[in-house]
Amino acid sequence: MASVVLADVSKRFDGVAAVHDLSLEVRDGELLTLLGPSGCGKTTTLRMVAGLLQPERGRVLIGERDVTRVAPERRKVGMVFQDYALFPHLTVTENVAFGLRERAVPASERERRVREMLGLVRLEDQAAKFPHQLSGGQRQRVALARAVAYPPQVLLMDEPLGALDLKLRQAMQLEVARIQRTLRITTLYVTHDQEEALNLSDRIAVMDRGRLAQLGTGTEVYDRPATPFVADFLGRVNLIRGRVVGREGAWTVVRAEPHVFRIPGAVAVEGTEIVVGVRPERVRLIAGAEPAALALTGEVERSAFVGSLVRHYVRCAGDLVITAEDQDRKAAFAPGQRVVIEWDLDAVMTWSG
Amino acid sequence: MRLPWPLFLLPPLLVSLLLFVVPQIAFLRSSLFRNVGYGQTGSTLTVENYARFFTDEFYQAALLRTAALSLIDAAVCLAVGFPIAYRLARSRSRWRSTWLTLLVASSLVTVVIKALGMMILLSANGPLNQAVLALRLVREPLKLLNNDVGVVLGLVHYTLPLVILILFSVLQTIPEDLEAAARTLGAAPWRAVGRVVLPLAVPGLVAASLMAFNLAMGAFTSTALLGGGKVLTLPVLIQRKVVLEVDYPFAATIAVVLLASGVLLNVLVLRMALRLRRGAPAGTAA
Repeated sequence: MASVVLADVSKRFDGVAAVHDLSLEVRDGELLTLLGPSGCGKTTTLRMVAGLLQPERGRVLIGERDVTRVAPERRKVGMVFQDYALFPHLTVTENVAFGLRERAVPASERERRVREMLGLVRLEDQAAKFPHQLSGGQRQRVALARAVAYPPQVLLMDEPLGALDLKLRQAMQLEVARIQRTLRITTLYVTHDQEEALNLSDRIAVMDRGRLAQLGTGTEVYDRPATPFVADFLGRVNLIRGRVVGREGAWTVVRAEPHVFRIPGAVAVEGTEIVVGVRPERVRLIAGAEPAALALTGEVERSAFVGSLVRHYVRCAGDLVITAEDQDRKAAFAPGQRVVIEWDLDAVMTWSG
Repeated sequence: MRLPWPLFLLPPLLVSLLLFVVPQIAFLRSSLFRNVGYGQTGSTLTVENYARFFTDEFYQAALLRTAALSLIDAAVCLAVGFPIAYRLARSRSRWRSTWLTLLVASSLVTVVIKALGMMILLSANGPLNQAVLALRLVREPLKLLNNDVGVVLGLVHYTLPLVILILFSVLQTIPEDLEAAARTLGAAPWRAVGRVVLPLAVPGLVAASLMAFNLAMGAFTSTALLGGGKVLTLPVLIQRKVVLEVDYPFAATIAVVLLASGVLLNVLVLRMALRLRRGAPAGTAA
């Protein structure tokens, strides 16, 4: 086992920065997720750790060894590809044994190891089949078994569940987590699915246009997002851009034309541009109340029932739409009804704009 | 209304039958009569032309020579063509389509022009020999014309572009991630090609080598010109029988033997290739 360190790594494609000055450490035995929208550089980062791409600048270390200029076959990494990349001309057994053969593991040891791996992913009875005879989930598990058969120091997974349907994806998340814990292998996991990231990860690295936006545990990243982008990418958030116009006791008064409202605490000095964020599940809508002087009000535009909760969209003056989520599903609003918008004081997030 | 599409295939089928099958039957038939001189044939069916072919060592040697030269051509084309096709298939250069266009264009140049070009290039005082003489690599000019070497060079020149194009189209269907996977599993680049790309390219290798072999078996122009009439393959012999000796039945006999041995070899190779093939074809879901 080993840690992975990326130190100021940069990579360009045709002059366009794909990854920019990225520094990151995956701790020994940890599952760290690279999370971000497509094109944010997460797959590029993974491929640089694998050695399939060369960074222009910076260093890659695996277990304290500088592998920046080391070929992939000498790095002791295992990789699961997005489309599995199973060898179509080899059986399940031969696929899993591929790395063991390349590393000249003796035949008896090889057989034992393949059996063990197929047991780990519960595919003992599919050993003689070819990849095209397997279902998507089974192929995924063969790819995983193949990647870890010759114990790698690091497991790299590139959107491994992307091609599966929702139910299977959820089942496979549990499976991946189980196998990763069983082997206690350092894992770098790439996904654009925030729920998958929260489900699986010890820590999450959120990437935004080739840079690391934030690194932390799921709760840290969700509750204290470093940037509006992170807040928006992990979960939903109401973002309001405004300017600090004054103080009022323990409150800061914010103007976001045409609204003026207050947020708790001394956030910034007067005149500062800021972004205020509140998660929809922390927003409450009060009907029929007299609005206080510094409160947001609006009209309920639409209420959507999405299963476990009801999501209300409230249109305020000046093209501002606030989303509120009601998990109790008790309050019902008629479209067009005027409401006062309130939120928990500790739910307010602010960033400099 | 549904168009009866299969009916549209009838005219080309008839044309093919007329222009392809009928002459073959005519050949086969005329090979079964005796030559009575002056382009005339006898009227009784006989197999003595075949008896003559297979008892005369001269013709057996010609058959073997034709097959051997064709095999060498196919082997050289694969050995030279595979690396080129692989590079092209994996290239992200903007010049790639230019190279491919040039390849197609060069394969469309008529064989006569190609062979004449080769004759100039390979002659005793041609540029190639002048170069190796100037570099003092040899004392005497290399004999590259009017022998087997010249014929093989001519055949390779003729068949290589097509071999590269066939291999390219097959290699392109093999996902690059398969090689990346092999690399992360501990395979050096050449091992990744050997254990993953080559096995998956078998259909293409078979198709390309058969095509090179078949073209070489039937090649007349490049063999006749670069062999200088000294390398006697079956197509060259056929021409001699027809033009110099006016012996149509025996020319037909050689043609039938050439055709039959070609078909036989193709069937054998295809059967072997089918037995070799495992799993799903490259490019399908993996």
